[in-house]
Amino acid sequence: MNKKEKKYYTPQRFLKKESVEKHRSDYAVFFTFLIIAALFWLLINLSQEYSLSYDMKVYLQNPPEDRMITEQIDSTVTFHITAQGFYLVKLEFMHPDQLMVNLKNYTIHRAEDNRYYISTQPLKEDIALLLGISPSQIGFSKNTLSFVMEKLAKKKVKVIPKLDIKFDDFYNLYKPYQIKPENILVYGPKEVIDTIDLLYTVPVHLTNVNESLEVTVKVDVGNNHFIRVNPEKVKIILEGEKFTQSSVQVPVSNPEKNKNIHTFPARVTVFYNVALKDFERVKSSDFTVVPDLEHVDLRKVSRLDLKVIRKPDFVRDLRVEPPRVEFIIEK
Amino acid sequence: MIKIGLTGNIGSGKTTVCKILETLNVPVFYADVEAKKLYKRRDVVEQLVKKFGRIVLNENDLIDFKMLASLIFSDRKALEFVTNLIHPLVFQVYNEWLNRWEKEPVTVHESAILFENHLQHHFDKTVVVACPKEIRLKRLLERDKISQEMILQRMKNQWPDEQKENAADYVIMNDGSVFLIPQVLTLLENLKGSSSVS
Repeated sequence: MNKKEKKYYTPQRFLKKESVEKHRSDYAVFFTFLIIAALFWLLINLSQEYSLSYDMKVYLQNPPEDRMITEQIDSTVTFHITAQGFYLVKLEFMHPDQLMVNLKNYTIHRAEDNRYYISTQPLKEDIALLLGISPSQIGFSKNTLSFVMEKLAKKKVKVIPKLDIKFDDFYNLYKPYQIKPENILVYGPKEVIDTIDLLYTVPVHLTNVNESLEVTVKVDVGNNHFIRVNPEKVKIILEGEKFTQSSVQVPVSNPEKNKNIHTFPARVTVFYNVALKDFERVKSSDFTVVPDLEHVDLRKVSRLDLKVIRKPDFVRDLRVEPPRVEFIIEK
Repeated sequence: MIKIGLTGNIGSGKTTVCKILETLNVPVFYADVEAKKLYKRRDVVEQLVKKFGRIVLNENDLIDFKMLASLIFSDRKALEFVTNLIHPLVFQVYNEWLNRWEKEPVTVHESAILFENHLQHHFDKTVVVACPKEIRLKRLLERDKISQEMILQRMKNQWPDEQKENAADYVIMNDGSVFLIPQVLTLLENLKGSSSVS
């Protein structure tokens, strides 16, 4: 007979196993009730009201158009919240540490000179809304938030773009760039504003330009935090166009009616760059070339420099060939 | 009166020198300008049409210079025909012109192809306006806005500078390195001096 088949439970052994299982069941029941009791205890305690205090950094925004906050006396504020434990646990993990105060929404009171304050009372509603609780549950450590605000001087100044444009071959600006607006308002303490006559934009680098462009660019106020500009950005309008070189033969005109100056050659070539679209518009009669007689003693020179005194607006980079001419004064 | 024949290759600055002379009250006969005027004469037009046909006329029944140039540059005999037709007439006009200026001590006849057409014997002295080929080429490209090939083609029909300089009595250098007016003044002094000596 197999040994395994002999392994029977005796009544004694059966009783012992039953006793162990009963003990185990007792422990489970005990701990279950313990957890339930602890949970109830926690829920009861969390349902009670508690008070907590938080510090928040205050940022004052949007002062009146003609003023600037130069010092924030109350830069932090402590606020107390009375709320159910449930809420405070949640708040403990996710309460904001910054308080943005839009001054447009509050009444600003003057304390003395440049010192102003706002009451924290109206702030309660905004913070309550932010935190999702009732305003009555919030209290502030201070009744007011004080700050120093100075009246700003304002001035209209020209904006100069810092442009670095590299055009494609044969391309260039068709006409000078435009800035819109050309002048902007600068606000700031008078002593600072008095030192500003113009402002630059931040640098703009453009490469391989072969078309017209509009670039919106920020006005550069540098490290001067005490000034404000309006608008903060300007639009630079660049009209790009393809150019070509051409030339016309132009007679050298007599610059002085009382002196009959004959130049040799009497006709010169004027080279210029012109946009392709204006190429056909250029006529020789649009140019006037004269000898430059300024600061010249005609008895001491053998040649006169030539200068172009009239040309169409749409041509540029002029060159006269030959640049100097011999001359005879007819008496 | 001293009759000067003034020449120079295309782009050398003949006209500039002539304008200086005119300013200095020296009468100048522009042979090429006068020759162009002759092409408007009815008898000249008829002779050219007889030789080349109506192809040499434009829509206004005037001589089409581009067409005429293309015909004579490629045909030596045609060139000779035109030269023999026009030059006697030019000299006819020149002689009439000379009569008007007979009291002047110096007169100038300007022609681009004075030596090429063996006209030097008509004058007491010959003057060539000289300028290196490269500078002339640059001037013509800037001035006339025609292709380099066309300019070189025209230059081919003219004597080289050196040959002209050797054939001339006087040379005026117009390469920009020497002033022109003093050269012209010196030339006139020499001519008047030689005239008074002779």
